[in-house]
Amino acid sequence: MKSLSDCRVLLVDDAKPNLDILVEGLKGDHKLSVAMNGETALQIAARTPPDLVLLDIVMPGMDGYEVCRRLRRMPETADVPIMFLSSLEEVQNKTRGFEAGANDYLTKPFEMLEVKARVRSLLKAKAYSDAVKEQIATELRVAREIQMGMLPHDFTPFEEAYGVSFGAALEPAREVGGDLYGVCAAAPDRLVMFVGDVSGKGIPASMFMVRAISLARLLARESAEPERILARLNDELSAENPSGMFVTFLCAVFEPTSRRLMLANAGHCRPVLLSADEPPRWAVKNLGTALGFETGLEFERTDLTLRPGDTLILYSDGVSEAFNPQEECYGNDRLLAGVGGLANESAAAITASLLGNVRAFANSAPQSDDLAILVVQVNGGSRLTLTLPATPEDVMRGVEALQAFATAQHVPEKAIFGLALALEECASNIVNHALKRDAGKTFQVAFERTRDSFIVELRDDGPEFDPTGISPSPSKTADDDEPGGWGIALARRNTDEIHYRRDVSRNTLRLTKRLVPASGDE
Amino acid sequence: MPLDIRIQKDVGDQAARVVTVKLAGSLDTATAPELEKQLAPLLAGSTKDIVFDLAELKFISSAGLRVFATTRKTLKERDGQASFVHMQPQIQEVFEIMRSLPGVAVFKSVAELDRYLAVRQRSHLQND
Repeated sequence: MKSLSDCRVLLVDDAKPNLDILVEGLKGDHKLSVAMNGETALQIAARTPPDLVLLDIVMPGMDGYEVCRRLRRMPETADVPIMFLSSLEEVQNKTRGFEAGANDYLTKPFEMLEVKARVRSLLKAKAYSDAVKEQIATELRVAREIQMGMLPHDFTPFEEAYGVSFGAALEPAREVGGDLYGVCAAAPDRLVMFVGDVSGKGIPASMFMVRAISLARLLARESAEPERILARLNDELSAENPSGMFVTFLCAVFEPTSRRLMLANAGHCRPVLLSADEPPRWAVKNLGTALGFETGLEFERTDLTLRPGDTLILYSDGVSEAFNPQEECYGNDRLLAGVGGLANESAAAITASLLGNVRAFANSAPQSDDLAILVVQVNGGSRLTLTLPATPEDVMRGVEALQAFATAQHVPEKAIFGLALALEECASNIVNHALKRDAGKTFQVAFERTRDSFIVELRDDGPEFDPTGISPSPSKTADDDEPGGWGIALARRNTDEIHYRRDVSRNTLRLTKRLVPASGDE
Repeated sequence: MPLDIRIQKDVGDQAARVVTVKLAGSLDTATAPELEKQLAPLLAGSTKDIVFDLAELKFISSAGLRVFATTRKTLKERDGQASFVHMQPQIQEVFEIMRSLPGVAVFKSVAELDRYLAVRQRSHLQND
């Protein structure tokens, strides 16, 4: 706690004799700042925030009431004790002073002894409330650390054991929150994932959240089906729930061998399923009832078979119900549209994009609710995405990666040569022209082997440039040495389809080469 | 894949005039500048004929063709030409795009090339 002699008192009065008396009386006990009008007082308060303000009311210019109201609006002085010292002694004046935000009111003429006693009393009260606040803040920080410690941070063991990759984010609206997610290696061929949202916010929600997450982890090992896990979790949480809290909960069980995904929902936001070449869709239809209301409820199960590269996006309503400064809601439509172009991205990139979308939408509006995102992606045996710096050497790294990848995918040698050439030409175009060989910039290449074709996708954030618009002109006049158009002509000649797309600030070039169906290698 | 460049001034009477450039590996956006750099002194000198031996060349893109094209142009201006020998089938397909340019000659074998060069050398001598 700050000692009383270290506390700074700001004295505001337009009459110098009054100020002199106050200075004389208080200078031995406290540090002092002095102002002779309202404007100066506000400037001093902003520069050197005081621990207490003694404020005259009747002053030329801004009066004391207004100074008091403004001090309350400034973050530096919102909680500082303010005492009026005024010759106005009507009860209406005093009432008005307290309404403006003052803590005390003393009429002139005053006894210096009384001023000193009240100043000490106000400073002590302020110091005590500061200490309590700081203690609460410290405890909340520790509580947050404990809470965050309950969430999985290192997903690597799960990723290696189950052939999936993860992305995750959790942002409580306050220091501690009620959103949760978890991953549990329940059995060698059973990975359990969940995300939930406890009613309310702050400490009560976080305590209920801790209870739910601990129980969910235990139950995930005991039951194979998500609807059983939810039913038992509901029984446990409802049985002793005097505060009447509840939690929405989505449970997913993935079996990597068969790629079967089982889902059950207890009133939580519906997860989104992302597949290549398909628009994003809801992975479950039903909402179900939240956990904690009453025992004996049953839950429905949805079964899906995922394909390599498929992505499941679990999240809380901090995403779908984020608000912007105009009080518009982010909403399901924006959510689906926002992840629409991301089917070929990694789980981490999808998480970052979704979080970025929500933040950009919310703009500067304060986060209204806790926000959780958990993204799980089945490793694509037939897809590879690389992000490369914009240099010719990295173009060739991409080409070599394509050659290795396509060879592993049993693509015929001749087709690989053509694809490598087409990639080299298109990537060189991007690196040399769009990104000007700036090694600080990057472009992306993605390879995908589908049943009957091989797809190469190139993405960059350079200026709009559609290479398919260049007419291939190998038959330029005989002595023309400007071989412009050779690159795109070669890319065309070695693929079956080249498609260009411009989204907002991004170029996407998609090269397709048809192959004989993958059943037998050539 | 790197590019290995071996420049060999041919033995014989007309040594300075025919130069063989053996390329092995990948002639692409990353390696083409190095070939350009190594060819520069030849193009600045009096070399009239350059033979590119592509037996070991595995990959080529338009960046590589561009080096061949500028070489061809310089040589042609001094009445020489760029010859290519031992082209692998996949390289040949890419090369199609500039094959018909004047000042370019493609040979299947060294024997075929030698016969042709012998005739050329004689005509050079007569012209000089």
